[in-house]
Amino acid sequence: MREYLKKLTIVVAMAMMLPMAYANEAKQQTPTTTSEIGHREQIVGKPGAPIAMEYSLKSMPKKGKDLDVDLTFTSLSALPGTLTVKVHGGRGLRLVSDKRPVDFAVQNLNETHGRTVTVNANKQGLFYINVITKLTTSDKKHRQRTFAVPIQIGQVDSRPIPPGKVLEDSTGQKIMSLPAEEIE
Amino acid sequence: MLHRNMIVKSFLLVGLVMAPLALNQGRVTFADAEAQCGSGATLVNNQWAIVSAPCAPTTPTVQGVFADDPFGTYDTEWVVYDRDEVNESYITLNLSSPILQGTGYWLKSISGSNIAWDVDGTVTPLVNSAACPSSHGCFEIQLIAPASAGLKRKNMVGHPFPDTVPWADVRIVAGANSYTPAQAATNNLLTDTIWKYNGSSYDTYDSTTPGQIGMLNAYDGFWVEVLDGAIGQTVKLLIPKKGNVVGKITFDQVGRNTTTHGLDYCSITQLPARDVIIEAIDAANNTTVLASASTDANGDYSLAVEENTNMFVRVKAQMKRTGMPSWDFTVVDNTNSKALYTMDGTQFNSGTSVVTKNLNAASGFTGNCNSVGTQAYSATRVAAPFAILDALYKSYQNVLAAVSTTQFTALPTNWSVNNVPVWGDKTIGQIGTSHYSSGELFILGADGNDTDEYDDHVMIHEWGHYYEANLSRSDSIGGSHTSSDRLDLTVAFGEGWGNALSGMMTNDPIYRDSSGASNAGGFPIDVEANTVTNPGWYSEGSVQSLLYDLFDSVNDGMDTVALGFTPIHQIMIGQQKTTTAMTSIFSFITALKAANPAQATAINNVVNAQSIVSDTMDEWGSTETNNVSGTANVLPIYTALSVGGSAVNLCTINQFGSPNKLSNYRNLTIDVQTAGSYQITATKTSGIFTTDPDLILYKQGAFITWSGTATANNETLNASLQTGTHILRLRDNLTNSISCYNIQVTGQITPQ
Repeated sequence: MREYLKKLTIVVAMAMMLPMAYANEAKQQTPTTTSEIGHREQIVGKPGAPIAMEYSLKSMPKKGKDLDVDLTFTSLSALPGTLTVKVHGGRGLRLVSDKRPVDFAVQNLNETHGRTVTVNANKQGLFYINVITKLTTSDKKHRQRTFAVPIQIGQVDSRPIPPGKVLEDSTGQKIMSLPAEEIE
Repeated sequence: MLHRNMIVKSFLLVGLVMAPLALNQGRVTFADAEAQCGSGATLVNNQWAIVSAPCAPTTPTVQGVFADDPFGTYDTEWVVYDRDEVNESYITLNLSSPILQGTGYWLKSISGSNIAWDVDGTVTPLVNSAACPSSHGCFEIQLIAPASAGLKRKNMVGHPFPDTVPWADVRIVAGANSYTPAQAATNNLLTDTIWKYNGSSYDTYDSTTPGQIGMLNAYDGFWVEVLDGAIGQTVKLLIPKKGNVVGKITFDQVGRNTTTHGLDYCSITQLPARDVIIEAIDAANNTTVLASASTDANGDYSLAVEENTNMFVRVKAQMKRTGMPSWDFTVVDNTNSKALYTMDGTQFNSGTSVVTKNLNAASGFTGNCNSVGTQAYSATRVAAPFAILDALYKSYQNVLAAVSTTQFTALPTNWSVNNVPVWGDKTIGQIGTSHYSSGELFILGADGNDTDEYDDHVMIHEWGHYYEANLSRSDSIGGSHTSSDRLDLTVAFGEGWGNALSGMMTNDPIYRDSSGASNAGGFPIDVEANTVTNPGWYSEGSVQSLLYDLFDSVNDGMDTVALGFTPIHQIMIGQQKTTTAMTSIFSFITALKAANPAQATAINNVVNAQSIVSDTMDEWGSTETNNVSGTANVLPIYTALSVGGSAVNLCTINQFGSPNKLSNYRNLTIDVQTAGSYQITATKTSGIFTTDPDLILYKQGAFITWSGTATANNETLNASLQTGTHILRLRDNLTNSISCYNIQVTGQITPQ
């Protein structure tokens, strides 16, 4: 997916940069001019379901408070089919609302469907809602595409914790030292 | 100084253009050879070198040792000489002449370029004796003494190991006694000096002089000088094998549920970590590298280290080789300063005998595989970087099998457990999706959402984009895509190529991408399937299907062709890279048929079966008739725009989606006869809503210039152009289902 598409569909990075700007703000921006795009896109990614997602936080995320999040899915498929949406909370984030998958009948290109989910976290930090979409089209094929919705609670450092020791080797290169299993 | 009369021998090497001989094409060749024989040497063009075999050659002849490297024609472009120490003369070797360990050989090439070469072989044979200073044994080299008192005799010898040995550690045996080099000199047996040829003159070393201490390195040949005190005795060099640390490196490979296409934690196996860098690290400071090597194709390694030293083994998530071929593939943590992943064993003492250290990279899954939580991992995911490298190993080894001299551009792969499908700050893991951009791979690692480290096909798909960008060419505009989409032709080819390549490199046509809770879900793409939704030149599904059919040996449908990878690779690194048109199925198939005329009919059958007109195809797709059931503004694929001629009217459409779908971009060709400044304009002629057109100019895939102003409904591009065919691409922001424009080149403004 390229920067271009990012602006058209899932500009979720906005939520990271502006954690306070939440309410009723659609996280979708459509460029008014193509000059924003640049002359050539350079990001080439893996195949996936032709689905785009937008989200909107309904209130300011707070520790221990339920947070409603509107999810809007757009079919980019020219084929009709069934869109299945599964949602669960990432580490540290609890999904309060119904956990069962939801199916949507998709008939047309650019057709949208919505779902509201409620989440809750008991501490401050950066958390993600995991959204797994599956589009089964009329040609009996299915594809998946996953999304994550960032939820920043509080003004805390959200830098990732290294999984091992960050050291320098003999050449000065940074290395991430992880433990090996010793095998007899 | 020694005199090299032999070098003036008439040696008429003609500057022929060489066709490099293939290196041994087995997948295990490079890694196996490195473990036993070191990483090879580079012979500088038009310079003599004294060389040796650092291992026992598999085929111990000139042909077997050297001719599998790209030297060219023997005795025309390169030659090998041996030293006859008895007669003190040189012998020109022929291809069947033996190559012995412990002997030095003169080697020269005038092929026009430096040549990376190596020896394929097995571990150097050792002998054990009381005089040998290593508990592991020594290699013996018998020396020739001078003919009579008052004379000296030089012997040209070769270092027999892939590891460095100090000259001071060598022992000289004369009769029943053994000596250090310094003692041997004192006893008038051997000078303490050794001579190494540096390409133009000799450098001298000994065992005691600071700054001049001799070290015997892999592939080194050198001279020693026997003194007359050795007359009447059997004199031998004992070159010690240094202390060893050996073992196997493995990683946990999480298996696959072929029904759900997700990961199966009840099926975790340990696979060899191949061609990864191993280091013995000094435990005294946790930094100094005591020895280094790479694992072989079985994950085995051998390190030569000092005895009785505290150390630990470090495995780097890096596969690297210098010279030719060359590569440098790493896995780094984009969320922690791009630190290179390593795994470290526990501290041990090397002692005086062989130490075995087998290390495994654990997956981090520790739970009940029949009841996996939403997030599967509870421990450090050490295996992931090595699983990623293994997918890349399969890929580059296949490329090397096709072209053994390939030099790969360094490729960092950014992977982290924090890498989530959110576009944002990559330093905290918000990478959007697994993708290739700006010379790097970014791979998802979000447990319970989307992890790709065990998805070989996904890894190779993305590596395929690296391949296109570095070995071939891609004009793809990128963006979201799926097999049933009708895409821009450049996207269709690039993505279809990535999918097909993943099948070719794994010999498995089922692409699988795992994701979801417990990483247990996923979806497949069968790149062998001939039935494609919305087939055509704009379909990645069609591209992947026909490319895989051209590759594989399974006949299905219209597929009776089985080219294998090499002919496909040759086109990708050849004509597909230089085509004047955009990179597409048209440029590829046109070149493939030209290079394989005997297969043209069979190729046509495969291509035609995907609703692409193949029989009359050219790189422009000028005879293509598939216009999606009569949809306007799909054909022609390219429209000629004459300099100074009439305006051409073209329309963008969005009925197949956006922004990288069919006819979102329209293509024009401009044949520039005279270099100079030109003005190109696009003016909207129809379309209800205001639009914002752009003009982008390429030549042979290279971006020349563009104009992307925000001016409503029209665009002007002033460009300084050289002669030749240019591609002009028109696009807009697709505010209308159809928007049409007059495009015109208003003519040369100022001749250059």
